[in-house]
Amino acid sequence: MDIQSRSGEDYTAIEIRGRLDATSAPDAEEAMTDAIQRGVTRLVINLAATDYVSSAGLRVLLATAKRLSRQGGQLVLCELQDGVREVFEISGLLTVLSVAQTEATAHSLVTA
Amino acid sequence: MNSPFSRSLGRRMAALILLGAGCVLTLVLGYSYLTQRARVLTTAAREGDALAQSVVFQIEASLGRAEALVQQVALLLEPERQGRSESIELIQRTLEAHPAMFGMAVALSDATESQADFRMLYGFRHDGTISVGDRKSPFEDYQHDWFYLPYLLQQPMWIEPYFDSDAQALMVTYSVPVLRAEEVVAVVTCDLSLDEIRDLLSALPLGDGGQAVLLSQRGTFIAHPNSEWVMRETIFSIAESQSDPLTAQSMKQLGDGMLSGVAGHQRYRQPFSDEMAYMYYRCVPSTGWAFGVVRPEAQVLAPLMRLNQISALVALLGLLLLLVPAMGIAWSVSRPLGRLADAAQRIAVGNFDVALPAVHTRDEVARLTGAFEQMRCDLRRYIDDLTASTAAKERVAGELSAAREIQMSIVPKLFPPFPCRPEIDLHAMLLPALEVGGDLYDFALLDEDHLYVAIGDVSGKGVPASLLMAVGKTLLKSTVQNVRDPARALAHVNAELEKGNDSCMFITMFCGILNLNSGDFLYANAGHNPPLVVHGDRTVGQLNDPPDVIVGVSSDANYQVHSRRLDPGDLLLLFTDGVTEAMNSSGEQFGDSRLRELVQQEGHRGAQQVLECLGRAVRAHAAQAAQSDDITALAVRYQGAADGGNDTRQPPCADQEADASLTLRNQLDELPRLRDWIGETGSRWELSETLRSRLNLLLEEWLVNVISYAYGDAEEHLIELRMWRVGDELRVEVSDDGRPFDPTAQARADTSLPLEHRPIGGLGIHLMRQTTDQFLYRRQQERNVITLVLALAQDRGR
Repeated sequence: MDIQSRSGEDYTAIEIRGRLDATSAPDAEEAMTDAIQRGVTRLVINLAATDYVSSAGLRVLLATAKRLSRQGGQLVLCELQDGVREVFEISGLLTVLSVAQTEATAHSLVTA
Repeated sequence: MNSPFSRSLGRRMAALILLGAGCVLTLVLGYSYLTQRARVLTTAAREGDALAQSVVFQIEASLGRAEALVQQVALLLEPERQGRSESIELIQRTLEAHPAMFGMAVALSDATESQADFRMLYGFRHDGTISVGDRKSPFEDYQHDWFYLPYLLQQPMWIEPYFDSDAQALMVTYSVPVLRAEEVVAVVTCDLSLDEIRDLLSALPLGDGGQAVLLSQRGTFIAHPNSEWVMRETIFSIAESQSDPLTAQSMKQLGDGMLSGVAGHQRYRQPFSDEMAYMYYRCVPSTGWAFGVVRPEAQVLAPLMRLNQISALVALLGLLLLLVPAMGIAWSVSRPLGRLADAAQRIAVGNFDVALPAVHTRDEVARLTGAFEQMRCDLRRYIDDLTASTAAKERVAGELSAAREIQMSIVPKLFPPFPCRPEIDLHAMLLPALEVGGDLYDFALLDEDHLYVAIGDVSGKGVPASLLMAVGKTLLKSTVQNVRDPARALAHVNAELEKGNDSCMFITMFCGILNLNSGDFLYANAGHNPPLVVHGDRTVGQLNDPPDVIVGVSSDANYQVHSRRLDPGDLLLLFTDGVTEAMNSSGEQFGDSRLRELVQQEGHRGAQQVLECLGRAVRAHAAQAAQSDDITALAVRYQGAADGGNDTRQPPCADQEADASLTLRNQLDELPRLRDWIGETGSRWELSETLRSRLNLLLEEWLVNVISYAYGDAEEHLIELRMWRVGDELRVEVSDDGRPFDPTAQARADTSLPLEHRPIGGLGIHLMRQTTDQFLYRRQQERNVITLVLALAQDRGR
């Protein structure tokens, strides 16, 4: 798994490449925590290059969304692959997490 | 017994004192009366006799003078016969000289004095003059007593009195014979009027009712107050005329006594009056008469009676005076007693504040009052104690009933609990002891395939125990509903209850989850009695894994989950020590062996019947002994899976070699091998990408779970994966030797909750459940085995 963080003017985007599973979830969680500790409140997670998400990955994303929500911020997911989308769907997370088709839509959602 | 005396002690005492004094006085008076009477009678007799004697003397004197006179005249005539004129003159002179004489006669004997010039001369007084003349018929006179008796007997004598009709007076005649040469030549007589004597008698001071009686020697009344009787009746004729024989006898005896010539007195019944009287009599010696003084008894005893009356009056006055101190004594005794009785009555109706009457003496009443005061204080204290202890008992009883209500309201009581689930036959009973023990049982269907059962026993009794029981039972159930793992649930409950458990109460708890598909029973035991398992062949087993520490005392307690496979028909019996330790009156416990014996015999029956038999047996054993602890038991019979298709007790392809298999170590870095295996097998079997990806997701989720949580040690364990293709299904089995864990029991995630309420964990098993057609669990040969079934053709992509 590879994580890249890009900071725009009014939001931060994190790009996750590869598998977000039990093995990589701790690294992903660390990156999220770093971002939040830097003061990021508007976060876009780009899953375009994410092949696989396990429940551990879902857990990290859910926890981050909750933390941001409590701080008045927001997390938006974007560009989910089909398999990943299915996992989100089965988990019922599509209803509680903001998901966008493209990062541009995500940007507008997160800064709205 | 309603007399005034029966109601008042004082009156009774006064009456008794007076009665006693009255008796003594009566005795004294009686004795005094008798002695006085004797003395009075003696005195009266002496007085009567003296009176009679003096009267007799006077009569004698009067008669003696007449005798002397006549004898003197007789002496004059004795020497030689006197002629008529001399005799007349003699008579004349004698009568003149003696006025007491009424008349005088000189009678010559016819035999010797035939030559004389007179026969009989008689002089008498008449109108103040004395006339002397011849008797008219001398020869008749010779036959009369006054001549004949002295003539015959040749001695002077008094002749019986007679009534002289000429003189109209009672007369008595004294006749003296004149002897010459031994022959009676004449008789000289003198008539004496008895008026003088009668005057004498009537002048006697005889008092009221007293009489003077003079009898002739024949008994004729010479003098008597009743003049009718004088010279007409004798005392004997009167006696005979009496109708009453006693009176007659009395009179006759009196007559005989009076004429016996001896002085004396006699008590007799007076004729015609019935009154008793005393006759004091004496003989008049010269004439042979009898004189008597009659004194009625009443008169004799009159002074005595008066004395007696005075004495009685004095005694009465004395008694009246005695009444004052008697009433005083009685009052002094009965008044404090009466006040004490009033106080006692008020105390008897419950008023213990009554002040007892003050006592200033040190007598029996004071002692009684003291004892009574003591009793009042004791009684009051006793009543107070009793009231307090009764109130305490009521409070305790109220608490106990509250505890029992808490206990009984908190356990499920609706049986059969799952009427639509033929695979479960469950029943439970809780017989609370008098002092509620705090037993609990619980059961619930966690989902349609998992049955939760629990039993527990809180240390201690009463309300605290029942409250802890309620908390423990509720906490355990809610925890189990969340974590679906008996050991973790117990650990959680222990951690919660251990916090601030200053009273160090604890619970022994047993809880387990029965997989209704496989019959696998996963359980954990916190110091509770190991439950029994009754198999279909009537053998009895026991879940006797070493129990873990009781709940509520140790903060770092560890709980192990154990598993046991139940075959269809097996009966699981959970019970508390109230069953095995139920004691009979001689202290003998019901015991494990009796319980085993009973379930061996009765275990094939329905759960309800088994528990009823058990309840009866325990009660029969305890018999009269009081139940000291709750008797609680829960029986559940696993009837086998309802749907044969879901029966995973056997591997789905046990007879088949796996089409593909993989063995992994319990390391996360083994996961890439899983991906490789899926990729390799997937391409070999031409599985769709979706299916491969889904398979990967499912197995990785489970393996991460197993590797992360199933092993309590750091040693290497092997996880085996096997895969089959059966028709249009793909079957995957994963088995591990980790701690028993049934993923299928886990709660389904609620995907409808908003972000804030979504739990972060639990998504892995949720994903497994959601993406499989079947998701089954069994425990086999100390291994957890999960079976995943997916459709080969069906593309579940959404």
